[in-house]
Amino acid sequence: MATGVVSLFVGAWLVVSLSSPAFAYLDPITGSFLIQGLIAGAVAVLAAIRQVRERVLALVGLRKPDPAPNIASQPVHAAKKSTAPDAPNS
Amino acid sequence: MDLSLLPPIRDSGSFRDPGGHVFVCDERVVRTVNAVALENFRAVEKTGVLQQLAELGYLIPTRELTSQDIDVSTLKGPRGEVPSVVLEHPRLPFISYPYEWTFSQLKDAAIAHLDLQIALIDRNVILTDATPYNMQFSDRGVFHIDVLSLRPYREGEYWIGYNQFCRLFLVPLLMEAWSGVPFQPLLRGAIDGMKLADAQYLLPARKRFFSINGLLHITVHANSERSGSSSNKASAKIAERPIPKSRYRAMLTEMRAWISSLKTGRRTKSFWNEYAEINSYSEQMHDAKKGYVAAFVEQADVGSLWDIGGNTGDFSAVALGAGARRAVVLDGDLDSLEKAYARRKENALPLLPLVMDCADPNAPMGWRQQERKGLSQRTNADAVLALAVVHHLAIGRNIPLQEVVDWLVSLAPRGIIEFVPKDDPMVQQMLMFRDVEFVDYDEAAFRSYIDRVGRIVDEHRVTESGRLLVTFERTP
Repeated sequence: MATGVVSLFVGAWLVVSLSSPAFAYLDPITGSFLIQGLIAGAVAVLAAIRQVRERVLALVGLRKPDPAPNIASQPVHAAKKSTAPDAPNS
Repeated sequence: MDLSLLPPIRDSGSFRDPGGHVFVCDERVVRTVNAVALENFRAVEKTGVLQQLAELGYLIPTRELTSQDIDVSTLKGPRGEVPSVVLEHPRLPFISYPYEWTFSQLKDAAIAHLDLQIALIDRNVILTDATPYNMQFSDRGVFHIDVLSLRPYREGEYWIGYNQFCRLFLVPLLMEAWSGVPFQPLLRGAIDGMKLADAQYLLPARKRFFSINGLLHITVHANSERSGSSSNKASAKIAERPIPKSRYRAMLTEMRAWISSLKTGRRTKSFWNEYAEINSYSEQMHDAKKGYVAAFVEQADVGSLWDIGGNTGDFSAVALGAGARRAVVLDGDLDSLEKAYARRKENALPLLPLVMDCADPNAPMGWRQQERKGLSQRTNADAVLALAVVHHLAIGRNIPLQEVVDWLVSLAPRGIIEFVPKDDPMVQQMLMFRDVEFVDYDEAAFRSYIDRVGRIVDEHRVTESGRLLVTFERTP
């Protein structure tokens, strides 16, 4: 439901923005910055929904909470038996 | 060890960032920190992240050298900068690039990159870029190698690397996940990736418009690249609307969750993936070949082994078991390499799969064609394995046999090359629709070509059809 609201909101913005005239040189990255406020807002809503969903699922025992990536955990990409990064060559 | 007597060479790919540069002194790698970057570097260092995150495998290990270790005047930057600080990193066994990785490798590099960013922002530090070229595979994992990309977080700031992340990580991954198209040719052709405004059309419209992540990070984001506004107005708007740190972090964690859920969308089950099962020699012969490889590695001191056309890394794994310290598997088949990468992760093997068409090895790219090195500039193998590969190049790709032998021998001072004769069922199959005679393709010619550039140390006949394993040593 909330995801749908976010989609609608973003979709409405999209319709408006697609019609805006391109009149000045704009570095693609500058454009990316301009839109980041909106994307970050929508993403924050998604993150909140995810958090609630995970908590509810964990509460009813359907799912263990997803361990948030932090420096206390082993990176998921590392090989299973990995314990430490390479030592400098000597 | 005093490095001052050795002439340091600046890495040809290290020139953009005026904050510092990478030099190689003999076999050691040092990174300079120039005056412009010193304040940020010290502030980051004070947080302790460099050490903490290196210990956890997110960042390359770093140690600071003293003036007794090295003469800083030998480490001038391309703009004449004299470094304020000199750091040392471990030398990586092999520098690889994202267009040489499989989908799973790029995905793991993206997740590792986001994990690093999340760990950093929790300590009020950010990354100023988001390029996969700063991620490298070590023997055990994949980590970030540029400590000068780190700087203290400024309240309300935006994710600077967002566009770069989407171009170089996200779009390539979605190309394979959503469209089922391998991304390597795209990245090989565009060092900075494609603009999202163009790249979006490579992705299916139903995903771009009807999935929330696709809508936000591709469609809306792509549209922003073309929308009209002056840079001045843009910076004013950004200054007016800071992003709370919680939203910055949510961008990272949501992107991570999304990327973690992506799976390859390629449907074709490749021929080479099953090659080991359907090829013409028996299990017994396969074992004999493994035994021959193991015996070769046990006798030679092999630091780095290159396995040309190495498929799923079967023989590389044998070589590693026999004492080789690391292996690079070069192959053009993505499914086989995915299996090789899964093998690396499952068994913690120092095995690096690389996507490479041996008849068209990756070329130098970027500024002055020196920024990203070609394969031949990165040749550092102690030994090469070329099993069941010669006929694919000589007959499959019409490369003169002598040139095939010359190239293979040029890769390492010693190695094993398998010669597959014309009578072999696999070669017969290849010749079925070919009009070319391949007059130089026979065992005697093969031997003579090796003799021109080295010597044959040992031979072993593998199959009744005449497959021959030859151990060579290159003429110094």
